[in-house]
Order: sequence, then C-alpha cells, then structure tokens
Amino acid sequence: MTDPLALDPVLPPRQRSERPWNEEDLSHDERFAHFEAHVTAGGKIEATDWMPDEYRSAVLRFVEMHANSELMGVLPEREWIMRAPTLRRKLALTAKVQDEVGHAQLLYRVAEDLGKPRESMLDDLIAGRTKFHNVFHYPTRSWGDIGIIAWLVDAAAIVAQQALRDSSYGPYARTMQKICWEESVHIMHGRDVVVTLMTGSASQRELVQEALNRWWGPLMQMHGPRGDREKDRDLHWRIKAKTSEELRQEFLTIYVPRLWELGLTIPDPDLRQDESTGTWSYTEPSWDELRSVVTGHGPKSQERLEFRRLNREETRWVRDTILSLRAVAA
Amino acid sequence: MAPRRAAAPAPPRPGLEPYEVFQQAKDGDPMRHGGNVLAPDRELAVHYARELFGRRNESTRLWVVRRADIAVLEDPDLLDPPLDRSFKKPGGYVLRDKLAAARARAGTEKPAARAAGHDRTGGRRPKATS
Repeated sequence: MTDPLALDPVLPPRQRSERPWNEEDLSHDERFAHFEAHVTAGGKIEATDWMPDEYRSAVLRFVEMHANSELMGVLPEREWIMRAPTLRRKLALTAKVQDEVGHAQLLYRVAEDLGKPRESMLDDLIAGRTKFHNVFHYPTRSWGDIGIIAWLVDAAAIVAQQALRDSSYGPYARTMQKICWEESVHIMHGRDVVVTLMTGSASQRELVQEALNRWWGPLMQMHGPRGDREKDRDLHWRIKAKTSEELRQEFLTIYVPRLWELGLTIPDPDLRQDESTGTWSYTEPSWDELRSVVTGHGPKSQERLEFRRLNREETRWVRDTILSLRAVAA
Repeated sequence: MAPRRAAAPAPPRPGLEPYEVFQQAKDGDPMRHGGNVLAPDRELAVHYARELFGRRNESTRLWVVRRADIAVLEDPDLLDPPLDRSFKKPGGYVLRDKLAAARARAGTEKPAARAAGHDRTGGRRPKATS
C-alpha cells in the first residue's frame, strides 16, 4: 500500500523572489504598484532594481544628508587631535576621525550608485544647497566637549542608525551594519573620556557639566521635530523605521539614567519620565534654532564649509593626477 | 538563458568605476560581500579597499572585483522553480508517526537515550557485542 503521506509535500512552498517591477513590458503604474507593495511589505531593493523616481530621490536625499554629516562631523573633533591629553586618547580620536571619513566614503558610494556623482554632492554641500546634522555646526570649547560628542552625539546617532539596518534599500541597510559596529567603539571611547573626567578633580567634573549644558539643546533638537507618521514619505518607503520622537524617547530612556549615574545635572528642569508609560516629557527644544543652524547659520557653519572648500582645492591635484594616469594608460 | 551582467548605473565620473569588495573575517571563513569602492584601476581599488575594509583587523583576506566583470543570475524560473523540492531537504522527511507505527509493529520501545545520529532522528545503533 502506498502511504499517501509520502507523496504529499511536507514543507510549505517558499515565497518565490519575483521582482515584477523589473518587467520592462509592464506600464509604469503597474511597475510602481508592484514596487510599492514589495517595499511596504518589508521587501528589500537593490541598486540594480528598477525604482520609481520618488523612491530613488528619497533614498538619495536621505543617504546624501547622512554622508554629509559624517564628512562634516569630523571637523569639530579634528580640532582636538593635537590637544588630546594622552597618546592613547590621541590615537583613539585620530582613529575615530578616520572612521567617520570612511563612513562618508561608504555612504557617498551608496548615493553615487543611485545616480548622483560625488563631485555634485560635494559642490552642493559646500554651496549650502544640501544639509548636514545640526550638532556639527557648533564649536568645541574644551576636552569635555570631545567626551560629550563622542558619547552622546554618537549615541543619539546610533539610535537612529540601528533602525536603519532594516532600511528597504539593501545597500544602505548593509552599510549601516558596518557603520553601527564602528560607532559602538566611538561611544565606548566617549563614555570612557566622560567617566574618567568625572572621577577626576572638581574642575574636571565642572568641565563635563559645562559641556553638557551647552550640548543638551542641540542633542534634543538632533532628531528633528515631531512629525506625522502617516505623512512621512521616508517611513512609507521604509527608508527609515522610526519617527523623530520615537528616536528621541529611546535616546532619553537609555542615556538620561547614565548621565544621572555620574552625578551630572541635565539642564532641563521639566525633564521627567512618566512612571506608568515610560514616556519622557521635556522642555520643547528650540526648533527655530534647529532650522537656522542647519540652513548654514550656526556659529561654525560657514567656517567649517570654508575648511571643506579649501581642503578640496588643496587635494584636487591628487584626483587630477589619478584620473590623468588612467587617461594615459587607456 | 545567458547570465546577464550586473546592471550598473552610469559611472559617476569618467575614468572611475566601481569595484566590489569581499572580505574574509578569519582564515577558513566564507568570503562575504562588504561593499564597494570607486577607483580608476585595480591597484588603487585594492588600496582603497584596504583603507575601508581592513583598517582594524577585521579581514584576513580581501577580494576586489570589477563590478562589470560580475555575471549575475537571478532568474527565479531557474533558481527558484515553483516545484516541491522538500525531498532535497532533511525537513522534507517527517518520521515521527511512521516510527511510532514501526515500533508498534515490532513491539519495541522508544530508545531512552538519544545516541548521536546523522539523520537528525536520534535513532538506535546496534550494541557492540562482547
């Protein structure tokens, strides 16, 4: 007797990885609908996929802003490499600056594959046509700032970046895995700087408190104003996974207790956590300041952009040499 | 169907082209795709890959490949045909009820200790006779 069970498929059929939006004989609307259904259901998109302009430009804008922030973000820290208090701190800070420039390189590659040449991205950055994160428009006044930046600015960034490891755009999501891994080292370095200062003299502790007082406002603004989840196109396309307010709440939940643990005072008398819901309330951050700063009116915006422009001019001969060598060889 | 070449977007700058980078974390590990770099030639692509993917002892080996040299096959009709392939996988064989029936027929008990087998069912090995 034949066992009917032996003939039945016992594993459920696997979902085939059909990519119908790549079918050139479908109409644009049909391809768009297939694409949107795939992405909103959690599917991934690769650089070689067809994609609607709306998606391509949204991913490009997001990644370009991120790349700009990595590139500009090294400038405040770079100012302290020569002033680092010990050789080990100097090595760590140099490595961090190198990492962040490396992140910019990786991210500009992701953006380039979406169709915008790197030269245009650098032109736009230097001309102020594209933005970078608000926190990199401020001066660094003391070694305490270096601890606060490496610990808390990187922590606020990694809260956002961890959520980006699930981005619908595959090349970006994979790049974020590498970046998050490196950022976790930066956070440990920053926390070590802060904790070391907090175990030191009264004036060292004051240095950290004074830096925290200046950085708290920009940190609270960093993720941006609360937005409407339904209207956010980046959420719709799953380029990012969380709203500004979700990221800020997550940041507060992890880092406020760690700041209190060190005996630091957070300069916001209205900061408190609702014990039943876990939600933090806080003084409304200055969104006017955020808008003004990211549009190039921060205390260091123009100086740092000018540094980038000068740096690009000074290194132009390297790029020209490499490209002309290639032309000779061809 | 001939494998198609990677559909690369237009090169961003004349004279430069993308190279894909694969990295091996430690000896014996598989080569995993790490990312890509833009370079004018293979030699500079390797230097660039070293800076971005081998800076902190995270790789014992890098493979740097011109993207245009990668042949891509992603046709689901070839790779993922809509047929039941469960007979090719260990999970495609469900023995529990049949084993119980076989034991009932043979009048034996389920072995107490699970000896290590290679078929993921536990199974019983003949005892060595002394």
